Amino acid sequence: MQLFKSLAALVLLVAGAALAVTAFDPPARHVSPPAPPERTKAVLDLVSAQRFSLAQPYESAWRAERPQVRSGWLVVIAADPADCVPRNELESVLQWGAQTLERINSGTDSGRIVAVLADDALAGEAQLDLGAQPCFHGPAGLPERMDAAELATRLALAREDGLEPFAARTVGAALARGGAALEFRDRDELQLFAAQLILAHSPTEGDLARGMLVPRLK
Amino acid sequence: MGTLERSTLFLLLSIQPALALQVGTPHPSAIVNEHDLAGRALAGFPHFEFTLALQQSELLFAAIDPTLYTDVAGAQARIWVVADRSLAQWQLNPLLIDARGSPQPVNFSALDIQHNTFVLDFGTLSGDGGLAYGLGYDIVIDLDQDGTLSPGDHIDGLNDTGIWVVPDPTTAGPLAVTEVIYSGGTWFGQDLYYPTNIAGMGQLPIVIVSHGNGHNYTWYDHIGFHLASWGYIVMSHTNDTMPGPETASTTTLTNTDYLLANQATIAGGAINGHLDSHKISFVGHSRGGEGVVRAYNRVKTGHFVPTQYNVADIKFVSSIAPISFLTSTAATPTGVNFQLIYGASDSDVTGSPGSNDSKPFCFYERSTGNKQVIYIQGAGHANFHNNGGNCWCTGPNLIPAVEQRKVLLGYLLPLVKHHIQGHVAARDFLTRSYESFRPLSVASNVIVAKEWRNSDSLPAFVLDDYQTQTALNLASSGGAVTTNVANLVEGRMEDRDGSFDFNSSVPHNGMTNASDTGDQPRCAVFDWSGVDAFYELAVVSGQEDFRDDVWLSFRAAQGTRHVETNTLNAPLTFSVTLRDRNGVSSTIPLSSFGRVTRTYPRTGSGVGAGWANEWCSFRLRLSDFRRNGFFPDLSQIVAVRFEFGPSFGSTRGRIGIDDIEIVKQ
Repeated sequence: MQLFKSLAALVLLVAGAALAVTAFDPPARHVSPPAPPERTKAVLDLVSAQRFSLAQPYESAWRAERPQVRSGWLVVIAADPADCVPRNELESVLQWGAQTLERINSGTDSGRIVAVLADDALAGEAQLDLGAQPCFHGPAGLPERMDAAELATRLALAREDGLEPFAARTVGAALARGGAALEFRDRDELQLFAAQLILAHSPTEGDLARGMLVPRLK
Repeated sequence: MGTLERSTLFLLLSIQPALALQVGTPHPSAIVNEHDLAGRALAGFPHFEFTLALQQSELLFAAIDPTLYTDVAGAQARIWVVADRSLAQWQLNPLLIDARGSPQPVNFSALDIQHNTFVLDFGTLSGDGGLAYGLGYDIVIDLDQDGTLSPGDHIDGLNDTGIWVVPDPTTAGPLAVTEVIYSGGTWFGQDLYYPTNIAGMGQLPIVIVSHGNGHNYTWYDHIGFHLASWGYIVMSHTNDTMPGPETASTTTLTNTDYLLANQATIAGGAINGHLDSHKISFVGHSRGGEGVVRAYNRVKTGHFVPTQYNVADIKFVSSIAPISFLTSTAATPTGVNFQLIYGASDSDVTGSPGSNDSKPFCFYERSTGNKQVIYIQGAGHANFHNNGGNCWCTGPNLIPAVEQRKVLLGYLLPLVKHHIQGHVAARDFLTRSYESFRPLSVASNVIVAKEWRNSDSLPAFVLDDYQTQTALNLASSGGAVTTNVANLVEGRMEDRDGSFDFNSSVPHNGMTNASDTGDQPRCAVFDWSGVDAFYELAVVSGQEDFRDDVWLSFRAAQGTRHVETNTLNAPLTFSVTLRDRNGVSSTIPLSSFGRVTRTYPRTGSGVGAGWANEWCSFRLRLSDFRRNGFFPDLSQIVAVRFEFGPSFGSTRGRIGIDDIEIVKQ
């Protein structure tokens, strides 16, 4: 399938970046990358959301169970840039409901994170209702070690902390910006599309996006 | 030269039939003396360090001890610097041809080695051996001044090379480099560097570079261009670090497979057939730094089976500022050659004792292969790549990124040269103390604490590694320990209170060498304050003969934020004595070769200044103890004694000491 069904989709994509939550100034240079929250912290906004499916599934490294991903949401999250500074010690685990968000970029300076929210294959590929569960930064951890039990515990922590799901209006606006559902051949085709989202929403991570868009060997 | 002193039967053939000998019927006078001659002068005893390598533009010295080689005492001779020849070549052609143009007449003194130390070259000798990395020379003392290598002469380099003159290892190599960036799909983005004229070069070793979290695979041009200019193929790949180091290790392994499997297509086929799949090395940064250790371990244990290579093909693993999330079982270098490069100013992988996952030194401790640490004061986390931006560095005296990367390249090249191609001279960069021998282009104010230890598989007599025999008066070798140092404790190298503050209940303060319970490195710590003190290890029966050995090796570190360390506030020195059965002893001051660095005065993690303990390795040549009339009998050494205090070095100090051993290479 074509990556873009129409030029309008691309325009909508770029427009979504401009119409979303007010951009933050890049955070001041830190002596150390900021530490993750000790408990949970809400993200700021949902910029866009778009359904996707894959003809060829991939194994996700973002869950300890290594599930196969066949479908999900491709989302752009707005977070505090201070929470988006990559670190090599433990980072916050970004989570939506009881599912890890597979971050494709860090959101450095922009606070805009492009991520895959996979349908939960372990729960019969249940499609997450974006308005039903909070999206949040969880405590420090390694996503590759997150299993269902640990994620459930973290979700409970988020609820204790009073974190709420996005409002219906926010979700609706994000869906409108995201556009129609996408059908990708495989994870690589999704990655190429995500690279364009990074260029649009987090341009300071241009090296990352351009590195992803390098021509494929035939 | 690196070999033991010996007199070598030298069979002359061909051009001087008067001296020609029949094989198997040596004439007693047909002896040349083969031993070390080349090196550098020292300010203190033993007054000369015989070395294997020097860098272009460094002075070349030669020296001979007249109290040991009495035949030179009072003699006149000529010293020749000859392009290196093999034994067979010397046998065919003993004519001396000086690489400097003419030999150097000298008059030998009978007094001591200092009076018999001569500058042979003021830095003009060429080290341009192209890809061979340096040029070798042999040094000949032509005693009979007949212009040939003849009986009675002395030579450094009869059976091997006397001295190597090598380029500064930060110098770019002679080859033009081509860079190609391509992708085999998600997580198979690769940035490839190879010699432009690879078509005529045969198979080349491969270096794989795995970046860290928040980094990018295109940020390692400095490594790629540098190593490729010296004849290697470098591939930096997209590394899946965000999920964690296990996932990162997978991308190291799969990208290596991909490169080898697709060489017919990559770069239009330019590298096809030129990848030496039996000479692969992994270099990882940060999460990639742990990832490459894990990658090696997965191949070794069979948890990952590559399609294009196997564990024996992986020649070394270099971890740059690695994180330490994984267990000591999952992430251990085991017996592969291993290098750790790390900055004391790192504010990402901080090395704080309060962080369980920030224990880079644990990988060195776990390694049982040839292993090395390069720990750079003032170096941050991010400046090991070349993207600029936030250095993730904190502390005083931060060094410029360009200097930090010089240190990185200056030790990566010798690492590759030695472990991949067996380059003998490159080993000098790895084993000698930093103050004794460092890349010349690195600014002189850059402070590096450097460790080296031979592989466990190499022969050694370990006097004490503190892993067994926990009684303070007994070494792990079983020999008695006698001492009058203060506050002696043996224990695990762990600062277990999460702070760099010193208190007596945590004697191994500042040691961050253990990451999980499977890490059990141990050492001794003690101090002295204003008076002389000693720490002596007896050599057990059956081990006293050191004649076949070459080095006394050990490591030492100053104790973080201890009152003695704070009061000294300087690099630390002490002396080492060997004593034979007859009571004859000889003492070498460590200061002749280097000093134990002062802990980097970084604040945080408690009160005061001083970051992690900085272990420094020292290798003292056993023959150096026999100098200027001091002649302990190396066939019956009964004690190795470390001596501290105003008579022997620093007036006061607090140190850890470990891995005291006698080695052959």
